[in-house]
Amino acid sequence: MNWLGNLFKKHAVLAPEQQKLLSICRAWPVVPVTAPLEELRWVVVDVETSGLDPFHDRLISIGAVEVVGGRIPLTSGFEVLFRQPEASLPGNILVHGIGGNAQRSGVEPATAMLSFLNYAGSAPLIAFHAAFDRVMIERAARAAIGWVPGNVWLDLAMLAPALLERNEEELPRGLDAWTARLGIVNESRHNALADALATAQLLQAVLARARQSGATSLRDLIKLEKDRRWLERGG
Amino acid sequence: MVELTAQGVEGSGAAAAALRFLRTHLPFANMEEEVLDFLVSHLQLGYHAEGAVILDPAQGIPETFYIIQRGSVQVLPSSGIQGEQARALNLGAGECFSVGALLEKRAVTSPYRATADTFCYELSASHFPELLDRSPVFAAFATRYLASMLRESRRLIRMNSSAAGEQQAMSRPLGSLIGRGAVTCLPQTPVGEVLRIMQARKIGSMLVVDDSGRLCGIFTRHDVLDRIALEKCDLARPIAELMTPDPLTLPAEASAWEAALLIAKRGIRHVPVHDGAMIIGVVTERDLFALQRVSVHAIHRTVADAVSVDELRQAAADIRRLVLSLLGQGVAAEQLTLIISTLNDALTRRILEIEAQRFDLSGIRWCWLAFGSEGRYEQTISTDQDNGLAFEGEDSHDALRQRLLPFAQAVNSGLDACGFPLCKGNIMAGNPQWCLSLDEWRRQFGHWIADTDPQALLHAVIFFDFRPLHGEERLAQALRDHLLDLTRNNSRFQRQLAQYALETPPPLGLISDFVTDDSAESRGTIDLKKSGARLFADAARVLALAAGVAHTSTAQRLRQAGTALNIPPAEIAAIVEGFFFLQGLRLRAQTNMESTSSGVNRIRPDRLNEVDRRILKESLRQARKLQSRLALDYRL
Repeated sequence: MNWLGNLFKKHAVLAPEQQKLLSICRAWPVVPVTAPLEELRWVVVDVETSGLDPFHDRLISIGAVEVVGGRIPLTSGFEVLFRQPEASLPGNILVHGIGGNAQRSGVEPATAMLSFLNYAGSAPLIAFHAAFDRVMIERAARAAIGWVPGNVWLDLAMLAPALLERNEEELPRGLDAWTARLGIVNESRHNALADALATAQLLQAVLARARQSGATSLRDLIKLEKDRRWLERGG
Repeated sequence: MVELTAQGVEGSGAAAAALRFLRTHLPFANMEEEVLDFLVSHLQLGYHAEGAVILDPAQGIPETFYIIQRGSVQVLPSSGIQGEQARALNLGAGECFSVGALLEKRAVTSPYRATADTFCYELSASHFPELLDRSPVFAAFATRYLASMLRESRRLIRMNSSAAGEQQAMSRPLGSLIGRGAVTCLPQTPVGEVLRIMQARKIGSMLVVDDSGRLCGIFTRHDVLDRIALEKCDLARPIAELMTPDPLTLPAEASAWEAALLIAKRGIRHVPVHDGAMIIGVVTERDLFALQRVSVHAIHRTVADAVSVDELRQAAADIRRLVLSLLGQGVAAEQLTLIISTLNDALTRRILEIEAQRFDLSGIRWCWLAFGSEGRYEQTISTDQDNGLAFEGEDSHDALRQRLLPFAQAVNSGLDACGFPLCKGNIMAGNPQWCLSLDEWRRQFGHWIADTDPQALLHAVIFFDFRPLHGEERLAQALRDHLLDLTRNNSRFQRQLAQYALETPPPLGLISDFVTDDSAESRGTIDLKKSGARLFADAARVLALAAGVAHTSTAQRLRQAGTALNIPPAEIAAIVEGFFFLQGLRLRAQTNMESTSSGVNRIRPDRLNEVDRRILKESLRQARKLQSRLALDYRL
């Protein structure tokens, strides 16, 4: 099966309840790029997959944590496990610790995806190395519900170096290095929710620094990310 | 139908992490499980970049209660404090703030700044009262807050004023340090003879003077080793050959400080002191050490050995020096006022003993009574006399009184000479009005209690705090029993006394922290006695009366009445701490020379350091709490 085949594959037929939820999700108003950072609600995501190939590996779970007005409400984390037709390889299971039985007993994919989209709402989505999470989620969404949400995506792997470190020589590499630098404790690495929580704390630091450096709206952050991407390509 | 948080909360979610965190940090670790759930369900995790100000006085009442998850937060002392005092308070993981500001619904008094990347669990201030309400553990923690602030204040005192107290002692003139006259010998005295004298009189040095009394050398115990023992010197040789010729001397008016300097600089141990013409003594290294701590024991001995009021004056000065030194050592005000009272009592008793010998008091049974602050064991340094005499005898009251009055007046002036100024209101035993037979006292108290006149009440208030100081204590006991009988079930009188206790509100402002005086000579100050300590004493008196407590000290009255009236011990402890903080502040004001310009009990809140100002406010709030309780109890 190639990725084109994937693209055109017909998604499952949705039950009436699921249809209803989908129409609600599609009706979320888009967050304008002029939205002020002060009050903005972010959703930080992290995915666990059956491997690192964004076009062939499957989405196993999504963890998400919201950051509202710079703060993380402690009780509002989100995590969902997608039911798998078959368990991933043993080597992969060792990474995320989600066993074969657990994978097979997850939530039916359409419901799982809709519950995530319902949690995310229209909030900008943000992750560390967001391109991977984005592809995995969008692919799974297309397959499960035949629709891809239009949320703004931002990449903390771009924003963190842009805002938190002046000295290019000392740039931490990878999420673990960044969280370690801020003293963030990740209680359970490669658990989607725990990773999302650690990433959310990195976002808190990024947002605080962004405010200090004069950023006021979502657009300012989008621009910062773009500039950084350009810099990294150039360098 | 939507799968939301259920799977995450157990192990890896933020709430679970917060629970685990709180369970390992006090006071949350001791908190009730359901309260922790309540807490966590309302917490948010916030981030504060290094250098960010989290709370600031300008923000008004904080909107958030912070528990530091990691990082560190510095509480900066407010401006106006310099040097060592300006030590900032550092808060780390597990510590929370600002309990005080939220408890009292006020702004913080100094900024809280993150000194590292800091994450805090944050609770909206609107949930704070509920937290206090739901959790007895947290409520107890908050109550202890005042106590811990007080300890911090004492630490600061220790740090700052021990030097000051010592310095003051060290500025005394050498003339006042020399006890006995100088021991001298002539230059031709044989060394053996000099050693014998030194041994017999237990002195460390011998001054060598010529025929005209001029100092020509000094020989010290230290020299014995070098110049006699090691040299195997002939003991018949004249001292002139072995002494240190022409030693350094200091005039009597030089300070102890100068002597210490000379001793340190020249490596000598003895400095002869002269009064311009004659050598009057020697100041030793050891004298200077002793100066730095006057012991309670030594003062007691001086008092007991004194045979004249003149000698007692020195002891009275020593008491003041001792207080200064103890204050510098951070001794708590409760112990300190007790020490002052004990020593002043001993001093007064000694004056009474000395004077009693000079008058014929045969056939009179008398008891010297202390009133007011002395009666409450709460004397500070500058306290007027408040005393009286109760007596009994075979003769008529007036005849006995006429015999007692000259004695009482002599004691009053003796006390005055020792630094206890005569009472401006003339409440003294030498005043015929307060030199009364036991029956007269009983009648007098009866009048005061029956009378609704404010002046009568004012008297009652001063005299109720009486205790026997010397003489026939039985008389005082009889009077106390009588008084308790009169008042215990007299609700009208108790109510009147309560009303009096509520007349002065604590000087706390709605807008500003403190309401300071407005008059020209004391602008910007607070009277720590009239609108501070007295509020506690007045309220405690009412509670003691209601509970039938015979003790006269404010702290004991509060503690004993608190037990009898079922007031929680933690609440009483906080009130007592508040009272003693004010007393401590008074003592410090009285020992501080600068403050005398506007009255010995006055301080300027704006000149206090941050911690003290905060606790002053806290202490005055305790007074307010006590007053509200009275108002409630007596429906005033």
